[in-house]
Amino acid sequence: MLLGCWSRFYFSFGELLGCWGSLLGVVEARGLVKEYVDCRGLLRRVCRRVRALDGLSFGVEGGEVYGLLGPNGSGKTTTVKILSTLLLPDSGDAFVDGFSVVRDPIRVRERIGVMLSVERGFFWKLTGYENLKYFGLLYGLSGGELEERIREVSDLLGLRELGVLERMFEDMSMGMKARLGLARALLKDPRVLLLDEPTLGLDPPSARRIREVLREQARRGKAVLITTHNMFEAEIVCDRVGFIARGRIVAEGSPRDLKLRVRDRVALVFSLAGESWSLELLADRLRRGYGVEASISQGGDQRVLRALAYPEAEGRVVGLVLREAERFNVKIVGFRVEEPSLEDVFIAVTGGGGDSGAS
Amino acid sequence: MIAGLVKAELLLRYWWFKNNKSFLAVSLLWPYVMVVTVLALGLAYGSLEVYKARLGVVDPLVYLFSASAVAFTTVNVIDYTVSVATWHRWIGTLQYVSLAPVRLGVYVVVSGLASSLLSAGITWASVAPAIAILSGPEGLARFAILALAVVAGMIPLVAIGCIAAMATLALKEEGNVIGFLMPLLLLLSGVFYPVEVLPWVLRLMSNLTPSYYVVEASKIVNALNVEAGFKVYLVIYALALLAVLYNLLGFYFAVWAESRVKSRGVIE
Repeated sequence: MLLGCWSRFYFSFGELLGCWGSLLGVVEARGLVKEYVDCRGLLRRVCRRVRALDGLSFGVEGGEVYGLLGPNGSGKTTTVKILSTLLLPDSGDAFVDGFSVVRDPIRVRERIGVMLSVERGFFWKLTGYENLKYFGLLYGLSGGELEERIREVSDLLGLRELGVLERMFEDMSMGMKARLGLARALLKDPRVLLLDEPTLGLDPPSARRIREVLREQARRGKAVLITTHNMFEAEIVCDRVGFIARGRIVAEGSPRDLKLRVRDRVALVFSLAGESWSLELLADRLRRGYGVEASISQGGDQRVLRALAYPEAEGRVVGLVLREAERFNVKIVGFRVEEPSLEDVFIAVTGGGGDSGAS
Repeated sequence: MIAGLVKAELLLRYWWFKNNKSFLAVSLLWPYVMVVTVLALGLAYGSLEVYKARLGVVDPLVYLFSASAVAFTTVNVIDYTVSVATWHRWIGTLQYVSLAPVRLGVYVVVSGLASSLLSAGITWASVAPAIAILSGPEGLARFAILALAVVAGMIPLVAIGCIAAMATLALKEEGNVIGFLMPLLLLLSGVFYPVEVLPWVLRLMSNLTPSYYVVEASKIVNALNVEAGFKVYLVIYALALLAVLYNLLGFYFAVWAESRVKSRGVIE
């Protein structure tokens, strides 16, 4: 392979860089920093700088699914947009197949398939087939090759059985839209897939199908990067995950290895009822006032408080939660003790307060 | 790559019209609505004879039809080109079209040009029967020459449209650039009022406006003879000059604006 790379030197130095990159790692982010300026007000304009990424570095190998995990506003979407060449970092760089997203964006775009939003991103008055054909032409496919690729991705994602190809985009369900979005990302058979929350808000069969396809693509040697805040999804789909908080990776590894970090603790799960803001205040009080690693999350149709505790301190933490819940007027409607999950690892590495407030 | 881009854009507009039949019907009808409105307003203030004398045309009705079609198709070039950016942003496709392996400015120009050509084709198809009835095959032949002048006029106009589109994106505003540009360009084109009656500043701006030359071509072709034929050449030279000027300006502006757009996170 290296010999093949050198032989290309005569044609293009850029190609050589690409070859070299493919020997190292398919996706590499190095020290990415991105700030946004958030301005409010018309007459008295007040602006503040929000740091979305703060020196983010990670890598994705070919043949693996890498999950970027974190709460809303932690910088996941910003990272995917930079890797997709839609956004320029303030400093740092990222490489896809060895090509810089800053200096060589067109080469990067030739190598990536992107899915950014499930609900939008297609022409409402065009059918699934017309949409796929349009984007295929736009991305450089044509003629028989394009028709063949549309056929292949349709079979892979079950677009025919669901009637997605003939249906107008405006008449599709969320599951159909998501499958069509993934079909577009796969259309040119890219080496790298960048997917931002690909299963968000989907029905279970569609979410399952998408996860299966992602695993299948990794088996075929592609580098797959997904962002999610669904820890269950990360555990079953990803070979490696990186927890992102306040714009940087705070922990990285396989889900199994990461869970070993909290194997000596238990997760205390309280189902709660109360105002949203009071639940957040409760979690904040437990974290700041008592050093309890606690976080609020959605558990089915209920809000839950997860707190990590060593078995010997379990009684103390339960007592603290009961006392503070009463103080903040929060009702506890259920309680159980669980084995720590990936979500608990995140709580442990961030102390439970992973939100940065970045856009 | 560019050929694929052109094909994609033409197919997109074709599918859009095919799946939106009412939109197609409105597109075919509007030149008639426009002419009737202008004619009604004009007749309220004076006769057709006065209008004929002031504009120096043989058949004011044919002129009004052809000049309206010409003016609106040229102005539509800017409308479509500027709308490329905002339209894609509104429907959520901007980030996906930005993933095409070409510069964003190139995409805006190709998309704007393809939509304009298709839109112009529809307008011409709509007006052609009226011209054929009013002035026969000779009128149709004149109109065909005008159509070629319109296509020549599109090249500098698309560059102006690209500048406006990239400015709209770079400023991160959904401001109605078109709402401001359209009436101004129509005024400067001289299609409804002779440019000579405008103040000198507007006359100067008019000389830098491609649609002014296309409307001039429409007047010349209306009274086609040997001398007029020579004037058509002058119009084409002027358009070529403006094409070089505006495209150079557009290219450098688009490169600057793309980097600004990507720094500010506007593509969403």
